[in-house]
Amino acid sequence: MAADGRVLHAQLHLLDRQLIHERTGGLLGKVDDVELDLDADVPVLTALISQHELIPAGQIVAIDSAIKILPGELNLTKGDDWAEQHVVDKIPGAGDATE
Amino acid sequence: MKRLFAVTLGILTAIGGFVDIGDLVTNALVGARFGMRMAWVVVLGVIGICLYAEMSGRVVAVSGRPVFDLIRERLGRRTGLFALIASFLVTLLTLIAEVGGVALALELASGVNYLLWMPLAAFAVWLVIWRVKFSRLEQVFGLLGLLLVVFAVALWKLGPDWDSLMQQATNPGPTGHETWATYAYYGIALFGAAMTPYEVFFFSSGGVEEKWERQDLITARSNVFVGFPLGGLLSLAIAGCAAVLYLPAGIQVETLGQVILPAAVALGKLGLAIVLLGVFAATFGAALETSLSCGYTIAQYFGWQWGKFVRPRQASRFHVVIIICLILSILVLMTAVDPVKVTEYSVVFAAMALPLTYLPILIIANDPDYMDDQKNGRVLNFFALVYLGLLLLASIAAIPLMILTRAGR
Amino acid sequence: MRRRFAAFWVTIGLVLSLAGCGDPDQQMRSEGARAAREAVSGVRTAQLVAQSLLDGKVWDQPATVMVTDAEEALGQVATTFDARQPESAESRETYDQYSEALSSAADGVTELRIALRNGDLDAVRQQVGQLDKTAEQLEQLGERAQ
Repeated sequence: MAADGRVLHAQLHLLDRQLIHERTGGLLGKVDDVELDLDADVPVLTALISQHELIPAGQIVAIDSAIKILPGELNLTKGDDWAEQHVVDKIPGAGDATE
Repeated sequence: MKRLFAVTLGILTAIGGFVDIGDLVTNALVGARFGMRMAWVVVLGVIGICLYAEMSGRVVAVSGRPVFDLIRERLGRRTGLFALIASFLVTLLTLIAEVGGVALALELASGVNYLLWMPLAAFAVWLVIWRVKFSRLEQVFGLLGLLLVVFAVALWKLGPDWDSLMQQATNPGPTGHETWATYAYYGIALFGAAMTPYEVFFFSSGGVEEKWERQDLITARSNVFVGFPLGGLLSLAIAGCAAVLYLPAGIQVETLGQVILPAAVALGKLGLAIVLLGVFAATFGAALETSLSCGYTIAQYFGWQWGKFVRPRQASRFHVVIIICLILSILVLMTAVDPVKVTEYSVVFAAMALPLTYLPILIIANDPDYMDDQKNGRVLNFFALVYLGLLLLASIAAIPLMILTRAGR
Repeated sequence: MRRRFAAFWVTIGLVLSLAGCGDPDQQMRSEGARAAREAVSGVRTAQLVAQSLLDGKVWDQPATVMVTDAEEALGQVATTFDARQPESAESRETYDQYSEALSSAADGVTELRIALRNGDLDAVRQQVGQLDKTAEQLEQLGERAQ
């Protein structure tokens, strides 16, 4: 975010924030930790860490009351995938919109 | 016109949805032991839940995020975790009580033992959550729950001495063989029954399910400020029926059958049929709400995809949590523990968890980051803080009183 | 000096006996009275349910469930009280008196349940009258102590 130059307070603006998929609006987890580059003049945010996955700062689209990201190759919903595969998909109607 | 319809529907749903097994059992129990001497607690509880439900509705209408979602952000991981654990466990206990209540209602109607109905009831709850649209689920059970108005009709039909009831209501305190300790204990229980935590989480998450925006604030507020007080009146009617029929006879309410009997005594078989249907709808609806709330709290703390507004496949962990909670309910109830006893404990534990669940709501409703121009005014904050003090008092006194009175003997 | 001493101990004795603290006879009476009051609840409920059935206000299934619940509750009250241990002759007398009242109340409601399940409305009517008397006796016993 060096180009942006926005000053952030790690605890207030970043930690424990909801991550949202920029395009689909899907919920992707919470920010568990942040990675900072402390060698630069001003400490720069280099990545967010959520559920042991590293989200490079370049994939952050917006920081607001939630943080919108483009996950790209990252799979942040591994837990959901597991649950989907082993439980939910076995129940009929798992893919249906409710009526 | 469409908005008027939506508002009316919302109010009616709120009235019918206000009363759950906790309110049914606790109000009848209190009415039988203390008459109307605890009416003021119901009034206090209704005001409290109105204040906080409005706040949580406003939070979601303005920020698009439900209250529990924001608890971890605002309070941090550890405090958020305490809030989660307390809220989740209390909500789970309430779920167990509600499923038990559904089974008991079915037992009363059919004569078939409640233990046989219970797994069926839990399965039906899951099936409705899996297949039925959120708004329809809310409306059907909320409106059917309105049938509980039969308690008010029954009270009127029983022809009570209104003066004597008023006298009881204006003279708070124990009577007969009761002591101040049991009075205080049941006051706390009644308070917990009126202000159960899951109601605000459900209300808030429901706002996202139904895609509320700013213009829906009016709907949300009318639901709360008209619907909940009318629901409170229903609670008072339940207590009133017990006060009229049971207090003079020395009958103590320990079963669901005793809760509903006044409707039969006053209105015959029709009254009995209506009240059974109403109780079924109210407890089934509450079972839906509590199981969804179990899912909401956990999913929202961890940031998982949640909600009925996406296909089940897209919110797998959320649905798995709900399934696990329902299975746990079946397992606990299968030990043949008395569901009415579970209900009595659930409302007291709800009262204990109230400060931890309500404080975050107050904090978030004051946060300009989420609330823009809609954050709390000073007057509201004053009253909300007063309530927080009351909640803290009730929470601290609950366990000592439970020990002192041996859970209300 | 001696008088003050005596007065002191008399006061202590009075306070202790008023508190019922450690007085097993008083405890037996208290527990008996409490059990009697709990039994009144069960008996009156059964009576109310049965009367409602006779008046055509409830149908069979709910009535049976409610009376069976009352029967179970009464059985529990009786069993819990029976488990008490009378330590003196006076306690024994109190114990016997309450124990008998409780078990006859439980029997009465059992009779009602049997009549109800058999659809024997005459027997139900008879039992309702009987239960009314039982409840009155229990109410008196219930008021004998705090």
